[in-house]
Amino acid sequence: MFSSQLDGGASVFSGGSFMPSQATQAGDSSLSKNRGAPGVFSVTVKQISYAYHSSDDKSSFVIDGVDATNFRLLGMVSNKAERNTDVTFTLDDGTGRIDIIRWVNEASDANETAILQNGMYVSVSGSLKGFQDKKRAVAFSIRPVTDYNEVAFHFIQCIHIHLENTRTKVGGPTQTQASPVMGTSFVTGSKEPQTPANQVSELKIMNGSEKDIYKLVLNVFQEPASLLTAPLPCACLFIRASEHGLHVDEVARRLGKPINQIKEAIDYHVDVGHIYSTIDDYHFKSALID
Amino acid sequence: MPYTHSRRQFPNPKSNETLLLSLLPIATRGFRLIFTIMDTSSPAVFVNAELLKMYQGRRVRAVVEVMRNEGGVIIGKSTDGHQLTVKVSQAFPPSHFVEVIGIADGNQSVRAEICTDFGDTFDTLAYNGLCQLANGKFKNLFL
Repeated sequence: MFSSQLDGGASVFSGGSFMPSQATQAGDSSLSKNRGAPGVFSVTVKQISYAYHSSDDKSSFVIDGVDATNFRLLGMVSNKAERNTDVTFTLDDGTGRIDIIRWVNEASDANETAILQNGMYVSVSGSLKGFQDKKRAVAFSIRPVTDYNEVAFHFIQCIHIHLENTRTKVGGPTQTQASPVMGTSFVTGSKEPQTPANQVSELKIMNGSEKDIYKLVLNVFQEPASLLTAPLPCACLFIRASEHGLHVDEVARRLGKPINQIKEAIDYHVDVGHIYSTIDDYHFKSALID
Repeated sequence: MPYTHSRRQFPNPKSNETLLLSLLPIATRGFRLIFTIMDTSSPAVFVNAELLKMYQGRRVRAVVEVMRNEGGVIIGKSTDGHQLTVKVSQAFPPSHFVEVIGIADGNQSVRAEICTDFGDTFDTLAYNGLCQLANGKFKNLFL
């Protein structure tokens, strides 16, 4: 499950610390497009209605610029129609309604669909298929909702994933996906909503003093003054921030640390994606956008 | 996006009726099949007592904690701590959380179409936060 995020952002995971277990991986970035099955997104029906084909691959859909053929919806069942080979119903999640079809091939599939009733909340994982404008949703997993905190959690997660996808693109081509999105599918329904307001990727466990330097350097880049995109009036001599970011010498001067340690920290942060170089190899800017 | 399907201006009492009515123009005018697959009309907005005032006459959804039942009405506490009145067709156990989907008719009142018992443990803080986000910065994901 982690394979698609291990290369490219390898230094992030090299410490061995483990993100909370992800039963289904949600919100894969564009890295996953070339890696086999794309991840499962929590979405609203409204978001699906905005989905469109990615230009090269006619069988995949794009939401917020990210491959989102596989989705997860949570809503209320209505119009359930059971037939020999399949079960169809309409899922209403409050933002819209979508028709879902679930093919029944074995007894286990039939068990899954037998408990469905109109008016009950279910969580549906499936994929979007279709040609041109004709979109169909095929479910491969339907699970009834038992802990209703899952309802709030699902929608909060939709917001979170949307925010992640629309935010990470701003950083530029050198940036890798440094903050993996939390997976879902906690069996008992999670009471852990992730407010998307301030999600900053976490530094992994490293050797003692290195971590301090890295953190210090990162803080320098993330000071509000450094994030400004317009040049400041020259009256302020201490802050040389401009739209080109900070020069490495400036950072070294401010922290009072040896320049080679600063450069090492900066290299690490560029690898992880926290900062990026601007006009030349000595100017860097934080990739964090508030 | 080729959406010429017009949004309904008035609330529809029954979801089945809505689907049927949305199928009629397709049958008569031969619109593309897409409109039967996904129907984004009559969305229900996530609200608490505060936001309810903004959506008068529109379809809303809210979670209330049942304080008491009075005839065909539930007096409940919304996720932001204010009192809401919900016109329902059944009673619910006190101190259970009930999700109400219906039409907002009055500053503190909802005429329920669908009620779902959410049990007696529910995170009102999370739901309240969701209401604020869904009506603020991320409204386009929901409405």
